[in-house]
Amino acid sequence: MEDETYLGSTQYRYFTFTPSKLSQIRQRTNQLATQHLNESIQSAIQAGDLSDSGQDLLEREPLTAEEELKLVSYYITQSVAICDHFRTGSAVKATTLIFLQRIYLRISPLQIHPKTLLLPILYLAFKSENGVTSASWFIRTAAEAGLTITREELLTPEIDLAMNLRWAFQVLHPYRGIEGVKLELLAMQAGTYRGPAGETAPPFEGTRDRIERACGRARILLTGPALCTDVYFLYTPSQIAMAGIWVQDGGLIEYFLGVKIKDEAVRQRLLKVIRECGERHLLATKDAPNPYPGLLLRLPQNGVPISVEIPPELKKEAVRIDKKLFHLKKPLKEAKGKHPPATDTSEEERRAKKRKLEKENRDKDDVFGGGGMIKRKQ
Amino acid sequence: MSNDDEYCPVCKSSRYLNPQIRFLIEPTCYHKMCASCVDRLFGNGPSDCPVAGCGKRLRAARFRAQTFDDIAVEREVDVRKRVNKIFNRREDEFATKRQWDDYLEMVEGTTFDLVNGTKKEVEAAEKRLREYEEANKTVIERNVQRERAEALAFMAREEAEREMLRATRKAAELETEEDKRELMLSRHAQLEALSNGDPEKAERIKQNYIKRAEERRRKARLDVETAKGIREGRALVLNSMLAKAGEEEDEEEEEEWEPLGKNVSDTSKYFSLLEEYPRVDWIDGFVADQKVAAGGYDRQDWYQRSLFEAFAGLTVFLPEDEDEEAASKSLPDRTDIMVVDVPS
Repeated sequence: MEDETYLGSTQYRYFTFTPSKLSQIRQRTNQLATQHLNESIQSAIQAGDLSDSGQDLLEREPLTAEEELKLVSYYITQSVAICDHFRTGSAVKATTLIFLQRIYLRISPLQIHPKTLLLPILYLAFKSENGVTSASWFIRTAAEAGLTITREELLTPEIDLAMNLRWAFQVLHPYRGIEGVKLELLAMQAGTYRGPAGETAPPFEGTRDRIERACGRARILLTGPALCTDVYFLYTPSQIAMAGIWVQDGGLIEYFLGVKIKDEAVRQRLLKVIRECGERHLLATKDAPNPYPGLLLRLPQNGVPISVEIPPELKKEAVRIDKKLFHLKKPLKEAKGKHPPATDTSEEERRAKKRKLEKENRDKDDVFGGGGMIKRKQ
Repeated sequence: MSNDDEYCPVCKSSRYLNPQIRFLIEPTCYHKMCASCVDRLFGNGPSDCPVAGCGKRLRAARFRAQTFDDIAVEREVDVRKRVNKIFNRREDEFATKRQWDDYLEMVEGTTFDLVNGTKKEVEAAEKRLREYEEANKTVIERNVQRERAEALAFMAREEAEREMLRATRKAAELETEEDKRELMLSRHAQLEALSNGDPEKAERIKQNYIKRAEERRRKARLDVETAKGIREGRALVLNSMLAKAGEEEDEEEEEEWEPLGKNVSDTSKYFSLLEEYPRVDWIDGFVADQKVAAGGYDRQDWYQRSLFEAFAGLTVFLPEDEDEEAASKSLPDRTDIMVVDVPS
């Protein structure tokens, strides 16, 4: 029952990938954004809006996918700091960070800078987790931390964010799962445990304290550093919960799964996945060999430390990337200031045409006749 | 009628002796006999057929006059009547022309076997008929009802048509009479005006009459058209009633719907909820709070949800190579395709 329900979730359908697929999506997003930027510059050159000779603008070193990943990771840690200021609680914090990760999976910082989206994403996460949240309260609280944002700036990006999240606002977290495991383990320890067929568990060696300590630490790990990794894309919430506990006390999970899963092959496979999740992601260190060579994943080996504190080396790197990004986009900004309608309208037209074409293609094999596209507010 | 048909094979009395003689048959064996024989032999209840070697059991009530000269035709008509009462499906019940034709062929084959077949074929055909009747009782009944409704509707339509015609005829008569009366009145008035030496007034009266006659005619035309409209409207209502007649019992057996998909149980294979779990500090403290308890917070729900989430997706393993992945993940939904990038 549990697996079927999970298979229907948006988390599984839209945001669960194999490592290579995940890396591939990131590469592709970067490629498209770079291409897009170059095209815009080219059209600006043709329109004569640029003072420099155009060619060397196009031959500048582009922003790599790896740099994008680092930049977004830096803003994830920034986001943690903001969440702490808002005293959001772990659920909203985790949802905010996962939203940020998911959004920058398919769009690139070249298109829109993460800095501008941190507060709107946090606000959206507040609303997804807690229901209605007052915008004026939000703006006031943000102002206390020195972050100024107007109501429009907060609300306008929302529809685009929602679209990029593919309207999937629910993030399935492992936290309640940890509580579930803890409950069952406590019952096993106390000897009151009964399985679905009424069977009892073999005696548990250890104290209540051992269970509570492991689960508590797992929760701290999963509400903190784990959110800076890619585990949400690669594993299911229950696997992450198990891995979180496994990292603290391996014997506990082995005992637990021994009671719960009778099929030896399935259990071994599951243990392998849990071990992999724990070793390669939750416990990853810079010095260990990279388990996924050549893939774009958030790993310390790729220069993305897993820590909720802002790591100084990442900060330095982020500042450098930010500068580079600024220079890459600078000519476009100049061009826009000089002669805005020319580039803008042609670009808009081109996009509108493309959208229309796509829509027609889609409508052709739509049994319901298609046409159901939501109009965007401009 | 030929001469040798003119006598009763049972009592040998003939039309020559008894000009009022009536010949009857019974659709079990189709042996002919005269009305007085029927009274004599079957008046006291069912009895055997008097024809040598027949011995079928016949009843007085079922005897009737022969419609067709040829007894074979008479029999075939009876058989067809019976078969058509059972095989009463209609063309619109079949998806394709081919299926309808196959059905017709089956019906005709059965009929032919019943009429012309050997004993074995007749038995087989009877069996087929019985089986079909058993299996399609509701469909047969529905079609009978439909037929009845159609007949009723047809009669009602005819009646309405007649009524309408009668009404228009009556209206026309009235109108002619009215016209005549008006004409007379107007003539009188004209004459009076002329005799008073006022030709202008006479002319005015004449014009007035012409105008009114014109108006009346237009009104009559309008009436006819309205009647037509009403008639058509009535026909539409009847048709819709007709369409409904068959539908009432038209329900298909529905497949049982399972919310989690086919053959997925709604109980867990990993856990069963215990009555009581060992103390967990924060949850027990939470439930002990009066404000929370008054709101109906149920600790069991929390247990259930935590345990569910501990196992949801636990044994979902991502495929290790890409081909397998493409096969295992279903196609994206429509919402999945719609990603529009944020304008920079």
